[in-house]
Amino acid sequence: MEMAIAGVGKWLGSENPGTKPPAQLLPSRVRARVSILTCALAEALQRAVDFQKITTEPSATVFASAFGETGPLLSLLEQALSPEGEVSPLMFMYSVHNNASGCLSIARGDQGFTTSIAAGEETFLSALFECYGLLKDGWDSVTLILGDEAPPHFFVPAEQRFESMAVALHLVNCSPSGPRRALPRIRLHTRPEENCGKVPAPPNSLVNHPCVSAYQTACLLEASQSGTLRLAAWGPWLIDVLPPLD
Amino acid sequence: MHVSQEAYPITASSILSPLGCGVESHRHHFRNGITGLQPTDSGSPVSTFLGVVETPLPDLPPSLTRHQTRATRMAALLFEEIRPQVKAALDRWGPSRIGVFLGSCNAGTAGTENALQCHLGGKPFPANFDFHNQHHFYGILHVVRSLSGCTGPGSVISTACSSSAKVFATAQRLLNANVIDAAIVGGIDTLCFLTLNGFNGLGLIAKQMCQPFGQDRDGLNLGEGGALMLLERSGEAATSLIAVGESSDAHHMTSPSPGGAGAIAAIKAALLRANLRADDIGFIQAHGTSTRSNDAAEGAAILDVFSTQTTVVATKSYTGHLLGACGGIEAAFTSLSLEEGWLPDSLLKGEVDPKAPVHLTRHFQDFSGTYAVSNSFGFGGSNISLVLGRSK
Repeated sequence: MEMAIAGVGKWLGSENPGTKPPAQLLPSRVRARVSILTCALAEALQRAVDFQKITTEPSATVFASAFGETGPLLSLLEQALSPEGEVSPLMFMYSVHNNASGCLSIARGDQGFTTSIAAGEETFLSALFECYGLLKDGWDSVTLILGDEAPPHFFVPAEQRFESMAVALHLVNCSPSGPRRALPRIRLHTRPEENCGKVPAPPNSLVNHPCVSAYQTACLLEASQSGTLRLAAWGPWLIDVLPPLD
Repeated sequence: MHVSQEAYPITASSILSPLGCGVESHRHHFRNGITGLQPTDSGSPVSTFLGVVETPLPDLPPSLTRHQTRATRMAALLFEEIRPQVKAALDRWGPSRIGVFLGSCNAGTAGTENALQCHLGGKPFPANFDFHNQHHFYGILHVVRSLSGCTGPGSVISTACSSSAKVFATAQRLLNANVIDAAIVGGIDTLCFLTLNGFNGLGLIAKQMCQPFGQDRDGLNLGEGGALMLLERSGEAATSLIAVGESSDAHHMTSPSPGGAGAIAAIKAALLRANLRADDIGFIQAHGTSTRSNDAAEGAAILDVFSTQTTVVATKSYTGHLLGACGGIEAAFTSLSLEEGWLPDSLLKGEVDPKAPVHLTRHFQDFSGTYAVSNSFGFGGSNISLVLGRSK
């Protein structure tokens, strides 16, 4: 299973400590109301668009996050458990897992395909399968946007904590001819003997991040390097990041 | 007529809802027009009707205890119902060729709710609480995969109320792409206080039993439960997944696009993909939430695509709105109706809304058609229509 990468973008929470990223794709009133996660996904998408190297037809969009809108959800739970017991309808509206999918499709007027995946440490792997299925189904390109917001410290032990992070990849079908020969590629497989290079370790702040392999993939792509990564603790799946055919 | 070549037989299904567990219990309630909705008690912060699963749920085996939530216990019960057919599929296709694709909206939120309540009250978290393994959506996937032994691709989709219908599309694409040969698909959701409060805050909770497409409808009732189905590349089955159509409203987070434009796009895409005409469809399993705006938009969409005489079934009056699980369980209801040749009464007490005059079932009736459409529409403008068919 091979796909070419036409654009890549990533964002780390430490770039904007304590604040939301600029997320210019979102209207300012929406940005003010939504979570760090939704802003982070919008920011990573903006960076992938800026990076994009080729023109493609309209894209399907796959969002993915292991935990989703944890921040708004916990705030809502606190409201619900307060003596008044009433929750903010606006915050409830923005607390669904597919919030970023909804907000960005509205902001971009995109009535095409969108979905939202939530598969724990397999989130990146699941999202890549979804992207591959969509490309084989006839989409010219698929934009994958994934990430997770740091969970509140009181809820998770120190050994499970991680920094907020988001990554966007613009994927297209590989082509043996034309401008797509000049794009780097990724390949999903289960053959460890085909390892194509060691990958630098992620920052300590991301070691426990459920989508850490997506961040490492983005780093390799941005640096035009090759390497093989294990995609999830579960299962045999590996991802190779490969150089362009040309 | 040339029907889609992408059809995949549904070789097993299991259903859990306020109507009970299994086909027998659901058939009994549908045949007799008995709802599973019950009024909340006087201590409830919201006065409404709820669909609570009262079927005893199994504890997970010790190896899966850290993933134990109400949702994962429902997943385990549902899986037991299809275990024999999954075992046969494992023998036929091999573990790595069978995917697991599930949908959910709330997953472990109810457990997080309990833990937060303890925390805010100055108490320690419950001894078995594990945010990392219980809060997120992965638990149901991990449990079904572990119990089944299927090792192919897996995913949980969370697109609000379309979640467990979207998994049919994922599975169909990966079957078409020859990545898998079979898939366990479906969804599970559980009731929680937050969801009830949130929908109430949006003014969408009905004080009475919900009345999909009714003139006097005043909102939805929440429910819980789920369904699992086994899709295979080939095999003997009474019904098949024929095609899927998806669209995005790009309009508003909680309100459907005016005139049901997004729903129309999803239904038309499904029919096109199925290579069927609107008049080939014998009935429509509506999303039918019973809110003013959703039913108006869906009614407009149905009347735009189909004739005024195309039969519409709405079953949330039996189960309540199962949120992330409704697409899967309503696909299972659709399959059951196609297989057994009957349609349930939609339990509407008054008149159908004259502004969206769909041809709603008003009594239990026989059905002899071949194809049906099942609609699911979610927050964020996520729309999907499934076409299911009776095997020849």
